Amino acid sequence: MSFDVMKSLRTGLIGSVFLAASSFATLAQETLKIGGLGPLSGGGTSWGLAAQRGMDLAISDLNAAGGITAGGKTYKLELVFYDDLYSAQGGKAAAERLVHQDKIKYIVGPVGSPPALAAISVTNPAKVIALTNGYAPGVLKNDAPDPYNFRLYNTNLEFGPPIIKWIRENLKDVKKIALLAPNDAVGQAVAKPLAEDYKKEGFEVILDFFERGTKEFTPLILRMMAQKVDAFEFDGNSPGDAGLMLKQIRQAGFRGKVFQIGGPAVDEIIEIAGPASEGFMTYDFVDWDMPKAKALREAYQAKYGKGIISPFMPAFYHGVYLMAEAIKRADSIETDKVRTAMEKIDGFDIGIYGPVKWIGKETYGVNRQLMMQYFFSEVKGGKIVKIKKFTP
Amino acid sequence: MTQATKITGGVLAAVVLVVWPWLTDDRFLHHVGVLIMLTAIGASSLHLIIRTGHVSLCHAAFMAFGAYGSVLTVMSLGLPFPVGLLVGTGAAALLAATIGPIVLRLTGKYFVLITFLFGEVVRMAIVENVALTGGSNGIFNVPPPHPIFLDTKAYYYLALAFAAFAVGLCARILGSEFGRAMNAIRDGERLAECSGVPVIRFKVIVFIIACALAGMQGSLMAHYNKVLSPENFSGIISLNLVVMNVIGGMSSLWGALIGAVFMVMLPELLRGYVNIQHIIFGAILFATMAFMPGGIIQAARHVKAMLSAKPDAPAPPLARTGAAE
Repeated sequence: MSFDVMKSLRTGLIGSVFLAASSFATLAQETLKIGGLGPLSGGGTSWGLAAQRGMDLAISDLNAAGGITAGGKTYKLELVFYDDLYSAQGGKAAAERLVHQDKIKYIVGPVGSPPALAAISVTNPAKVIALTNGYAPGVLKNDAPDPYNFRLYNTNLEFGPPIIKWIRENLKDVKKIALLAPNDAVGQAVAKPLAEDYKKEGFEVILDFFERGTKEFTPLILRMMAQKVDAFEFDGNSPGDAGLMLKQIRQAGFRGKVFQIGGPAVDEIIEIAGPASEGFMTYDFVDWDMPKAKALREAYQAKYGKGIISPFMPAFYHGVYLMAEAIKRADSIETDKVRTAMEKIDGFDIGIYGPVKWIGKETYGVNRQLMMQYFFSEVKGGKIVKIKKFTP
Repeated sequence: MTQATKITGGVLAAVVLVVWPWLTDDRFLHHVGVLIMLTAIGASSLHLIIRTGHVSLCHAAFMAFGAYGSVLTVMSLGLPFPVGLLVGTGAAALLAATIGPIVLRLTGKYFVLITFLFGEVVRMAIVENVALTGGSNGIFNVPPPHPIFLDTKAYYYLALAFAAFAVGLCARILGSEFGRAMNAIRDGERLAECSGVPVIRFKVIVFIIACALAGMQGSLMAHYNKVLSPENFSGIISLNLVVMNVIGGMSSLWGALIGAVFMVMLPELLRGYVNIQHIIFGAILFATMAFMPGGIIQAARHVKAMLSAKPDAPAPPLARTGAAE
């Protein structure tokens, strides 16, 4: 046998081994698609982009760690993310496509109530697990006889009363509060329950709505100041509007407290309001000092630049990890088993939010509301300082 | 086109519309089918108003009246869906009969502006009236017309039946003596009036019929989506219906239908291209309007005429107006 023939045989043998190995790897590692929904157009684009990027980073991290194993198979995760247009019709159409065309069984999103309410009307009958946002109580209090949807993080019904109680006990000068909110789904969903929560704690509340898109708030602010309010509260506003309002409140000469119990986007507000943000107090649920959170921020900035990070990014990152953990614990990709595992996921901690747990039986009739640690923070010297930590 | 060819084409189209859902199990395609059928009702009904020479930017407001009328009748009064549908459709017609005689005296940009403002007033009334309409959060858990219609394929046939009724009614009106009077009003209101056409009365009748059909669409859409919120009835929705007519071709009912198919399917086909979908969508819309000023229907006619014309015969004009079909 000549040297060339031996060389050919050896090359062929090595090639065959590689081929067999790669075929085995292909067989052993299948793909599991995870669906994502959020607004990628219109006013809510920054929220949808943050959600998409959070999911993308989570899937990259999970795949880098070898994927997820269930039922003796290892799955590589793949993200399929669609624009829900932040509307009911858009949410339904996007969910229909994920569920019935892409055959996806696990969805994180949508972000807002109208698309979430429409999407779960598609996902629940199809036994698809959906981790949605959307503050409307109907997201959990829906008509599905056997629901498969959960809510991804705290709403104002969970964090509002404890923070307001803390304000009453610690900020004794505050007695009369002006609550300014946009007259849309978000504003109406959060402002009225929040006003009720303030009233229950003995505060006097002046609630006023304005049309979303308003940029000049000074007349409204002056009207409130003329009524001798001790504090302003503007939950339900976008970070852009909240920053502008904060700036205009200080420019109008108001020196009292300004709160936002909800809409945790303090970085964006500081950037817009600048020095006027000093003393601003807000609800917050990400502790960027935690090691995993710090690593996530660095990974995000390395991939997407050093811009401001929306709180939806870590929330959706966490959502993918929750889904992966439930699949691992169920040791199956059957949604019935994964749902059962998801319901028992209390105490799960990936190092961003601390241990989480399901609550909601009393408020919504089902324990499908995720509760995670949250904070009441204050801007001091341009930095966010956590002044009170609330644990579930 | 001969009568026999028209009948054959019509029968063939009907067979395709009835049979295609059975050729695929893809529920998403059935969903797109439902959206096309429901949107066709809105586009064709707006086409009626356009054929009298008016561009209305408040068609979505009448859809809202139909939707809220129907849903409140079913959910608050506990009455069955057919009653809700009738109440919603009737409410839209009543509203049209109330404002029509006033706004239809305006023409051109004044009519466009007043209808846009009216649409905003209706939307704001829905947002402000939280106790009745649920405000910005809307109404959820809206029941289907019947449990059988939880199946998307079944809903497609319901939507198809109503779309056939609406489009058939529009075609019948446009093909009648009344339709010819509408064209006369569009082409020259004063001249039509001098010829004995009761212009305002005709325009109000058309407006009421078109708005009632929009209300019907709103009702069907609400019971399909299971969620009802004011953003479904914004000025953008009305504008989209106008764009459908412009893209398809404003001179023919076929144009409105082609525009509806185009405008529903295109975003769905592009949904997968998350990052560039709106650029592609905008570019296609721009190209369609720039290079086909008479709409897709006129461009198709132009191509057909060119293919069938003798080599030395001149090509027909690209944009044609005044077609009575």
